[in-house]
Amino acid sequence: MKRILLLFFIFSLSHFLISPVQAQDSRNRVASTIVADGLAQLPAQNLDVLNQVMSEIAGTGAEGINMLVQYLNDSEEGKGAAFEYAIDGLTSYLNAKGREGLRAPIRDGLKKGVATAKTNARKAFYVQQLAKIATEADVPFFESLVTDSYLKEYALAGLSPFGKGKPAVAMQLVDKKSDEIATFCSKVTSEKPSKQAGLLLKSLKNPNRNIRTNALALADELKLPAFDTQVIKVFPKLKNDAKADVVRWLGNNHNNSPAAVDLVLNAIPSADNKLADAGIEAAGRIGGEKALDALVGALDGQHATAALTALTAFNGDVKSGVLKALRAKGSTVSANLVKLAGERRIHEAYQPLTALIGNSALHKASTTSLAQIVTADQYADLLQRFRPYPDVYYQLLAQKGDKASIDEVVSAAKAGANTKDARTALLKVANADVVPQLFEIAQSDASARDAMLGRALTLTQQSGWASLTKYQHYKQALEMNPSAKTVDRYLEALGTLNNEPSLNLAAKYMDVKANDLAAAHAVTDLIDKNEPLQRGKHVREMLQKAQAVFKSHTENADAGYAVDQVNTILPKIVDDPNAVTTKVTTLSDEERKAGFELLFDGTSLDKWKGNKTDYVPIDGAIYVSAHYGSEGNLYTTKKYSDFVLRFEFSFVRPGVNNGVGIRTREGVDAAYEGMEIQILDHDDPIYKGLRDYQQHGSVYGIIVPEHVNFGPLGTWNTEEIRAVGDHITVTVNGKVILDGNIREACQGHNMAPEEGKPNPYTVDHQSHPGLFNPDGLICFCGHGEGLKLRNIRVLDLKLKKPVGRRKK
Amino acid sequence: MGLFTIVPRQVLGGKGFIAPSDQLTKGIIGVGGIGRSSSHFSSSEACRLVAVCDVDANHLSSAVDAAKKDLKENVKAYEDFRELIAQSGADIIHIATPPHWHGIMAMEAARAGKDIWLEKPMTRTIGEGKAVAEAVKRYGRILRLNTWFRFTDTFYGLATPVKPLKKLIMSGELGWPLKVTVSGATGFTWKFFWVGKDNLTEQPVPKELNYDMWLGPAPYKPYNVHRTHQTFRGYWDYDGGGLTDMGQHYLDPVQYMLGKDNDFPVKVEIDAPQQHYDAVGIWRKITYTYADGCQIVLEGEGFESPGKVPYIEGPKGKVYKGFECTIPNVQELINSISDPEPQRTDFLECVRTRQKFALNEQNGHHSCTLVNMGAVGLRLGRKVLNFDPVTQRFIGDDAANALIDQPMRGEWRL
Repeated sequence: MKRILLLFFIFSLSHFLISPVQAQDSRNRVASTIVADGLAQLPAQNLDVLNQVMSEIAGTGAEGINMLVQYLNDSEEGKGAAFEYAIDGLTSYLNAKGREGLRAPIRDGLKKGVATAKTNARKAFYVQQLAKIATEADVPFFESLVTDSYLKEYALAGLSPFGKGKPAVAMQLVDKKSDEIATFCSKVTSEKPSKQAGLLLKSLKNPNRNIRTNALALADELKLPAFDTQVIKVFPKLKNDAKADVVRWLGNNHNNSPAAVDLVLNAIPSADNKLADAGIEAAGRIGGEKALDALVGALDGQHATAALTALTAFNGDVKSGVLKALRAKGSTVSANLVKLAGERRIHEAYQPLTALIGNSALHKASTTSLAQIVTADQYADLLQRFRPYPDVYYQLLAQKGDKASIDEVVSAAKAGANTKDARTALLKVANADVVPQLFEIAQSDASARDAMLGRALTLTQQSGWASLTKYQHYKQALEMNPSAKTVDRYLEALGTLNNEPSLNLAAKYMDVKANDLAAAHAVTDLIDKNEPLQRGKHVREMLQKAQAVFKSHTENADAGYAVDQVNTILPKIVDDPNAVTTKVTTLSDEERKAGFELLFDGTSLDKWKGNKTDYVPIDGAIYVSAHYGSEGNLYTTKKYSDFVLRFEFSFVRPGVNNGVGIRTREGVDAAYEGMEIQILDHDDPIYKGLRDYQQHGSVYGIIVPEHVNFGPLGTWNTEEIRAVGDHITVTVNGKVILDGNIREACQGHNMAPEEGKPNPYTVDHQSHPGLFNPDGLICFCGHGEGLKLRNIRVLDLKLKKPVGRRKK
Repeated sequence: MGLFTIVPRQVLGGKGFIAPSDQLTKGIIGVGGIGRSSSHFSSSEACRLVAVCDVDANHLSSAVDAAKKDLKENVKAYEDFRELIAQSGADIIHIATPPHWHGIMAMEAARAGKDIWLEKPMTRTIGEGKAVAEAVKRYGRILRLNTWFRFTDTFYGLATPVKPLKKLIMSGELGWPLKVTVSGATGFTWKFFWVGKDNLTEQPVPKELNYDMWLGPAPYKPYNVHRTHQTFRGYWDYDGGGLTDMGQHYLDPVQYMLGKDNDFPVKVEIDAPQQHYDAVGIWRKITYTYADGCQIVLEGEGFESPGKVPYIEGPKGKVYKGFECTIPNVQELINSISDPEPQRTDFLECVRTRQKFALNEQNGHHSCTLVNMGAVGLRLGRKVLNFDPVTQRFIGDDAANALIDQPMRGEWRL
């Protein structure tokens, strides 16, 4: 684009010739050619080229710069960059050491540019360029521009290296450094010490406030003896503005001489607002009893706010003054004084302030202050006094934080006339025990959901609960579909945990547009900070997905860091040694001929229903992160009565508890409504007291299996469950561990002879109402995370012919 | 809503109680960009957010609303930062504006007796950095410059925090002097490509923006949206592209590793295309050389040296990306070396106890000077600039020195 534009300019250069006779260089090029050749190379791709081009253009003297200025002036706004590169390149080239001799014609050309440019912005550009190579000789030119409101600042910048516009004196001292102030400061400092005070005193009558304040500051800097006494002497003759400056100055210097204090306090009742405010501010800084009384007195007046500010930051103790006024005025006291008693924590004001509860003008102020000054032994009393004011009462209860108080807040938050106030207060309870109550309200009332879940999150985060417990809370909260913002907060919290379910849960939200960024951060953090999670292709893919999310958020500065963070984590991800090499599993020839059906091929859960959020296909296996509860199970879509079920399973965490439910239905406990063939990492120490009918492979509570010894965590095991009528056979790793008849095992008594009593016929002494179900669904019953399942296939023995041979 | 009743914790006791006198307050200046990031825009019992300031009315009202909604804080709102500093009562002034304001605001805060949290880069010029460092010292303030790789987080591309690298360097096993190459090849892959536009046209100033106050000390130039929010980084008047806006993140930990916190380079060399006078362009390579021969090479995005470049290269050994090292058993070696002096990284604790933060006005000024030296060279098209670490001035280049203290517009002065 730029190149095309430049060619156009080169082609049309002859129209812009400035001088009829042009100088020539060693290559016999005239100035216009040199400029055109130069422009064609700009912006220069490296600094050697830049220097070469600029030395050639500079060599043309006035001709080159005049051409460039004219081109720039003739170009439209937003189309002159090529010439800006040239002119700026030229001044940068020339302001290097040793090139001073070439500058004069360029400076003249730039000045002409200022005169001829059509817009202020262009004029300013030339002034700025001139400043880069200016000499003392250009000072009058810059000075001539100071009256131009647009160019003034550029001109002053040009003047600054020559000591104009930037005073050499008292740089640190003056805040606003105009020429006038600089001149004034240098005049004073160059004067004999004996005359300095006189000059400074005189300047207090100067109408320019900057001069006055600088004079006072300069007096401090010069440490003039007894200058304050002299100022106080001339004070009555000063105008009010100047008086205010002096009063502030005395305050800033904490000048507590009696004369200064009197002067400051006398300013407070002034009719001039500025002077009165200055007096109040200064009185606060100086402090002392007189100042305190004056300021407390001013709390009722028209400068009450200023007085309160001054008292809040009063130099010294305000207690005596506040108590004195409280006692004297009783219920006619000002609200500001009440506020002050709280702000400055004057505990002795408790009694007088309690008298103001319910006072229409002072109730609010006294409430705030009482909360600030109450002591522990007065707390019960305070609660009693606020009993009729639920907005305060429940807040105070909530802050008390003991069980009885919290219970009272909770019950009021759930129902009754004060739910609103109690809920507001409940959000302040600093005790994680209320989290279930917060959840309960969040669940039942959508309008309170975000607030309740937000607080629940804060409390959960602060609690010492185990990571998995926290995860379960977060999951529960997310299932309530709070606002996107709350979801983001929960995702952020998930990112600080350390377990795989958290990772899986957070990863799901990368597909939710409103939450993808927070989810990507959580996923990245979880993987980055937890080495055990840094394994497997699915983890790598999660990271890559997170990175894509970060890249899509170009508007977010933090996302940029995250892209890089992901790059540093990716190399750490190792392949999972237990992952199957191909994702898709197929039936063996033998099984296909026999009529087996593949229920899980490594990728798809199409043949399953139920909890697909906690049973997730990852890397060829189903990863189970379900927690306890029958609604958390994964069910086949079809029913089976007699069948052979084969599958592989692996424990990736110690103590895994799951089970294969058979002949069962959705939403019930398969161990009793059907059968459960136990899946359990039964040698984990947590199962020390386990009964033999609860071991892996048992028909739970009915038939005891042989004990299986599992390999280390992560080992894959094969299992076959054969169910034909009442005959159940379980084979693990090729070995039959259970082969029995359920009806014989309980002598036909699946139910206790007497309802509600133990069943003497079953080994677990329970009733199993669904034990003899003729058919039903097959399911996996999740009781926790950390199980992997793969290669699940089934042979339905009730189908007369194997699937493959059926006629179509 | 209930009335405002906060009972001081000491009345009720309990865990995590913070005495009111220990509670700090902060005000944030600039709430359009990083000032709204969750780690900054926060309020806690230890440090409450009490005020915000912005010259964009939309940013300001959005911040006030967010403070109310998310932080449950009724913050005071200011358009003029001087009022926030003087009136809000904040103990800590958090400066999150574009860099052309950093110097002035930090000085104002220091003079007002405030402590300062300053976003990187510390200042836009070397002179401002020097002035801020002096003012913070003179007024006895605590300043935290906000980049953190010298004390926390995995170091870009090196798969490690900075500590083991520092220990390895301190061991002398790599030899001396060292050359550190910071580039895409060693994991530093982004945001050096942060450029401005060289053909802007004037646009009407949006009514919510106080453009004059946004510009502040910067020269007046006709408004164009690309100059302001977020994209301001591409203009020399306010920042200096990826080099100055991101460079300190990368260079500061290197300065720390090399033990150069009290040193400046004596030379900076530039390899770059010509820059526009207003808009920041791209650059290839910036090389800093210290008096003892140590070098830091900064390579711009897309201009990395071909092949495998060591991150740290010494006469006796090299360290590559991912902490790959030519020294055998480097981990054991590192374990055998004692830790460097611990760094103080709890800013609030520093404020309470009046101790210097790990990255403060002194070492922050030094690492910021690295990026600002580079910017001076780039703007003037200098291939080489020589620097005097004692006077903090360039040697034999008046034009470069003129960019150390740049004139300010209108009433604005440091």
